[in-house]
Amino acid sequence: MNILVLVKQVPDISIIKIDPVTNTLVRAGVPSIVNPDDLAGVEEALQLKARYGGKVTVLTMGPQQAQNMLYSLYARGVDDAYLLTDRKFAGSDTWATSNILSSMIKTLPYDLIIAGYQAIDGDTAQVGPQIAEFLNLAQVTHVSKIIEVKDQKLIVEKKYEDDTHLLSVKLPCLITTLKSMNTARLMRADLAMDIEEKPIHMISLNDLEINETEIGLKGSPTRVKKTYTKEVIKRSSPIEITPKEAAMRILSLVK
Amino acid sequence: MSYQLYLEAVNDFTNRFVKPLAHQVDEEEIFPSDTVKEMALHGLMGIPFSKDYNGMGSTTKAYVDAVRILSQSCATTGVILSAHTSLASSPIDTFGTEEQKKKYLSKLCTGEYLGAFGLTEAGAGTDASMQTTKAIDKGDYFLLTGNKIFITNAGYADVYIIFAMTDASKGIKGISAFIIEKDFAGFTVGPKEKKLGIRGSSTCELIFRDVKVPKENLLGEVGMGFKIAMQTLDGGRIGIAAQALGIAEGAFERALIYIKKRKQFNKRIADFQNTQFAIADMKTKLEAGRLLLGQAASDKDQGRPYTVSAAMAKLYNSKIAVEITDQCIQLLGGYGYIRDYEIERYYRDAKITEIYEGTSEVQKMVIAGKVINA
Amino acid sequence: MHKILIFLENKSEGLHPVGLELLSEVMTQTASLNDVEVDALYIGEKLSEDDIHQVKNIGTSNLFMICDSSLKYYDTHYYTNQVIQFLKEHPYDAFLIGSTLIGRDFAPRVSARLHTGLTADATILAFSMNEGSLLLEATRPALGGNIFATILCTQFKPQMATVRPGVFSICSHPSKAFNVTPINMYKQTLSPVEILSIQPNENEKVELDKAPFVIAAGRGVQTKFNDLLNIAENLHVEVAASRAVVDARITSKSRLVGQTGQTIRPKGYIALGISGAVQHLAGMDQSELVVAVNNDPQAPIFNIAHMSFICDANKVIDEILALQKEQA
Repeated sequence: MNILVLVKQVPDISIIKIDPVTNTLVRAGVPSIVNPDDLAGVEEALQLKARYGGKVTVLTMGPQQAQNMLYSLYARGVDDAYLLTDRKFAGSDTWATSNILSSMIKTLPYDLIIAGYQAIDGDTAQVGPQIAEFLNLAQVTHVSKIIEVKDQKLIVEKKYEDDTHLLSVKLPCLITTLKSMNTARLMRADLAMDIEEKPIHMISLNDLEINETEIGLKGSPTRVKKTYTKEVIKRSSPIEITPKEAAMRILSLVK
Repeated sequence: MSYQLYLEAVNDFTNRFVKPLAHQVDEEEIFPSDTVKEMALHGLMGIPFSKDYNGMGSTTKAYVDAVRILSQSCATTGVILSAHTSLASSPIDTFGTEEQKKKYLSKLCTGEYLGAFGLTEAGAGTDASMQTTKAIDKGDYFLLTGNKIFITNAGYADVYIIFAMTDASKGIKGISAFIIEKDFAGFTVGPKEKKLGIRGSSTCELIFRDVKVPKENLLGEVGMGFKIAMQTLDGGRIGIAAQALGIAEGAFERALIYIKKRKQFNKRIADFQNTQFAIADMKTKLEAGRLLLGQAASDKDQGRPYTVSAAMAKLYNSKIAVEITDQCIQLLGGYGYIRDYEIERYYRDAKITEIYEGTSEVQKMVIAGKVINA
Repeated sequence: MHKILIFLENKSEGLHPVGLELLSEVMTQTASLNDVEVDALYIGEKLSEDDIHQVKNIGTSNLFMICDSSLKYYDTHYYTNQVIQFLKEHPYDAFLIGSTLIGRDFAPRVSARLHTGLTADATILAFSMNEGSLLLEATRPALGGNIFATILCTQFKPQMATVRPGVFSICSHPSKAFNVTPINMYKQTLSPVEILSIQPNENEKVELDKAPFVIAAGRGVQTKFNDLLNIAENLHVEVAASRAVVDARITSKSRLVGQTGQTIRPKGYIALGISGAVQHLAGMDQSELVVAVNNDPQAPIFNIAHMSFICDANKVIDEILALQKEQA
């Protein structure tokens, strides 16, 4: 099975804090990680490879330092890696990003494309389905479990809010994965040590057949008018009271 | 860049598989078999050996960093790797025949086999030459009889490097080394010793009663055993120095977190000068320990003589491990004495590093010997 | 005429409230603008009279219904195609969809095919006239709820946004004209996805969004979660949990309140042992009354609480249990 996994390097938002004085985000010193939903996708791909044989290729669109992320994925056992990087890609919204990634994917062989459900920085959950649309592929988003591959079909479980669907999807298709699906494996120490031998295909705008008007800031249908952090208005000062007093006050409120 | 990623891999491994179990491993004296399996899956069991034998093809430095990082969370896990790599795999790598390397080293490096080393006897500790375990040449096999005590990884190892007297009349030159498999008839393992520290580590007696050892399992040549043992221990010392340093570093990190949080007399105890002086002392010792350890590993990797640098690394790091863990408990006060706070374990674990694989006294003999007789 | 379309999502017992919440909010937001028509599109098996009535009460101008038994259960291929064919015949300035799993599944495909902008998971909507054209400004949380971004799509139509359920309330608006127009299902090819089976989720039916009072457990009280369940049962209130408690598998995701869980606005929200990380606040800070109990005087939850008590939340739970026993 030829599996492509789309990955994104994101800041570890569990560590991000807001500067109480300037009310802006403190981004300095926040480590970068593989987006958790994407890492789960890599783990699923590696498990499928172990079951059915084949090749796992990871792709990312990002700045040069995303190479570090790709190396860490090599250390987990992926077979090939592509970094789509070009200053002209900067400022792309999800539509433009999906456009760029799709134009690359079109040139590669694949049976299955896996993308993380959503990125912890953008939180949109749009890139996966938009790529599926550009490539005219069947999709299942928010997959809770991959059951098996059978007769050119992928059997998956999708948990909706109230019920769970068991679905059979024709390959090739695109699925989006959730962090909760698995515990992604760690890097292997021996693979990590050999990382310098691994090639990363560096892809720039020139390598792609894509209209320059449909990428970057100018090629994005949406744009950000403004961003702001929520102003925190203290409603009351905290008081020290005994647990018993607190219990009584809470009970009287609820009644 | 790859070395950084390697260290990150070892750290991540330790945080996921080793750290969460460390307390229980000690409390319940459990040998962490599952962790050993995971170490194998993550490529940690053959770091300094050639890829021809399934090793990582890396350096002593890389191996020693792994032992150190593991020991920062769990000294038991650190010594399991150290004994396996330095004391079992290493002599086969240095002295073994091609067949022996193919048969044993390849499996030790993948972690399919766990290794151990048996030199110490009831009457032969520091005086290792007083071997009473005998191996009689019977033509197409050796007949092995005797007892070994205090053997690390005993009962879990698949392969043991055992030393025995093949010719008592030759003294030290009458000792030979053998590769013993766990299933050889006549070989049994005694019950697990109850220890002060590294309580998860399996330390037992080995009993050999007329064990038939095939001729091809002789390691090196007849009479070479003592030399093999001493050279192996030289390398093993570097591993233990790493374990000791890791123990000291682990305790230091925990104490540092505590002193920055804990307040008495309206200040953090980190703000008292006596605490600050203690931190400065410990930090300097750790740095000195790291440098000695680094030098020993580098000497070995570069093919320079490393007997003295290894001895100094072990002597110093084991000493500071005991001192630093003691000091760290003191900084935590009453909490330092409570087992749930996971610092007193470091104090108990540290002590063994001054004893096994050559006591600190032996290290001093080695160092002084080389210096005075140079 | 400026036109806004709202997608009405199907639920097994009728309409998903998010469709009505959106219709309501849009009606409110466009009240001061001239010439704005708000329509609704339903795709599914059928709509009950009750549901149609609800849609009417909010002030909707046109309700379009594409009904067919093959559309009973959500399918990406079918719904995407039906929506796109509909939009090709009925142009709109803006198209809003609830950011449910279904909405977030097909909205991106529609926006990709129509080459238009889509904002995800908006929590604030604003409409205005910009050079004679209806402009949507959709504001949404990002970076785990740490920042908010206001997004525009000025070059393409329809301007699309998925909108978070539970953020807006449903209220009636005076009805202008109301038309119900059934639309024949557009021709389409067989879906590449086959539904093999559907099972209801086993989680206890926790209806956090309907409860007037919610007690929430954070990491600080996770060992007493069962006690809280007992307390809640006696008081007839619901119990919610923070991410830490759900991740520790103490309770299921159905109780999760926060950026990746539910957004609720109960009358009273009692946060016990919750620090108040931004991701959690995103799910409850619009509650009418927030009471927070935490040992740490610096806990961020105190910044938004109406009543802030510094003490050990575990002990508070013990005291409540004791008081309840006395009264029994």
